[in-house]
Amino acid sequence: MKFSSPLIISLRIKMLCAPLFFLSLIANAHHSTSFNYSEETVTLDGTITNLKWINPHSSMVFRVLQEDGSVDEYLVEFLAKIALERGGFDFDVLQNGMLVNLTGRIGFRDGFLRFQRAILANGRVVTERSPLAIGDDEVETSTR
Amino acid sequence: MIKKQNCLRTRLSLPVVLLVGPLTAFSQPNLEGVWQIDPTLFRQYSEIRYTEEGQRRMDAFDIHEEDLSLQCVPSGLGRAWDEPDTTVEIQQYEDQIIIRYEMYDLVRTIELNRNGHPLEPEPSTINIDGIAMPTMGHSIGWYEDDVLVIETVAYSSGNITTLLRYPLQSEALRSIERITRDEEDRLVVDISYVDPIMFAIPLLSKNRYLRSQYGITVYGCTPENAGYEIQ
Repeated sequence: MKFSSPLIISLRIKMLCAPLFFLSLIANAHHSTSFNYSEETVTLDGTITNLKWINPHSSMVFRVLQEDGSVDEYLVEFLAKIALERGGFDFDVLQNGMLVNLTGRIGFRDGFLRFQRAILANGRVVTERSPLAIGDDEVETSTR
Repeated sequence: MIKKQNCLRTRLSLPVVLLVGPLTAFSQPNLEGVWQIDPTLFRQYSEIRYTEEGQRRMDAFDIHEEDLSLQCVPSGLGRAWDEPDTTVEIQQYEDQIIIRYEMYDLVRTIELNRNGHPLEPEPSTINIDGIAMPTMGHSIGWYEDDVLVIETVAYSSGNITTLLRYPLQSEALRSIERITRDEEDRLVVDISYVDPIMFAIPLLSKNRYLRSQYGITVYGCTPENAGYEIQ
């Protein structure tokens, strides 16, 4: 699958150099965004897996295929399910196995991202507050 | 005055209310309802000034190692009030206040007009499974004119809030909540946290709430699911 958006890697990519492709990992769920994620973002192409729509924070694992054939995994955090529901989020818009172009805030812990938006193969832009059409992405994503 | 009774003493207490006089009775505020954070005024905290010991504890604290939310436990009282996406329900009875926090399915019972806290206080807050939440302490309450005042002590260690880099609370923490309704039918919650081990000066917070279009739903946090897991 091809995306119109090029792969854009923003600042401090070195923070992402320790992907989570080993063992199992449990991380804190309900926490201050600013304390756990930098303001800097990264954009990656990859595959959605392990979607969990739960409280206090939803999450997914994002698998990114590397040039050498290896796969890096990132833990991507969303708002709580209840917050997404009340914000009108369409839970069907993201599915396991889906290829997307994802932008997230870089976590202070290696391999963690805070979801900001995803661009689907059909060009549709998804944020936490509501799926938006391309061009509407100036609407800010809640970053609690 | 809130007439709702929470026990079989309804018929006994009604004459007492009438005898004591309506002025006293009707001066108490009606705080009942389901409330949700007013996004125009919430999570307001004063400056934190740690004691030397408080700073030492903060320096040693690592949220990545000690995050209570992994256990579906509120880190502290401020955490429960600060939550922007869930609701809070207040029920007023003659002898107690019940506050339900949708987050973590918490039920907090505050006995009114007690002479003090018991010698060995039990947590006033439990979750939907009846599990006690010691990070929320033991609370008693009373009315001062149109303000509901809640004093809470006997906190276990935790974090008052998950804001401000997770300020720790010690077992010496004492909080005073002052809850009232303003002229625009909004709930206003002011909290003062006094913790001589952690803070050189009281930590103050303010949140305001609007009536919510939502009810109280089952939050459904389970420790098995609260963390993230990558296989």
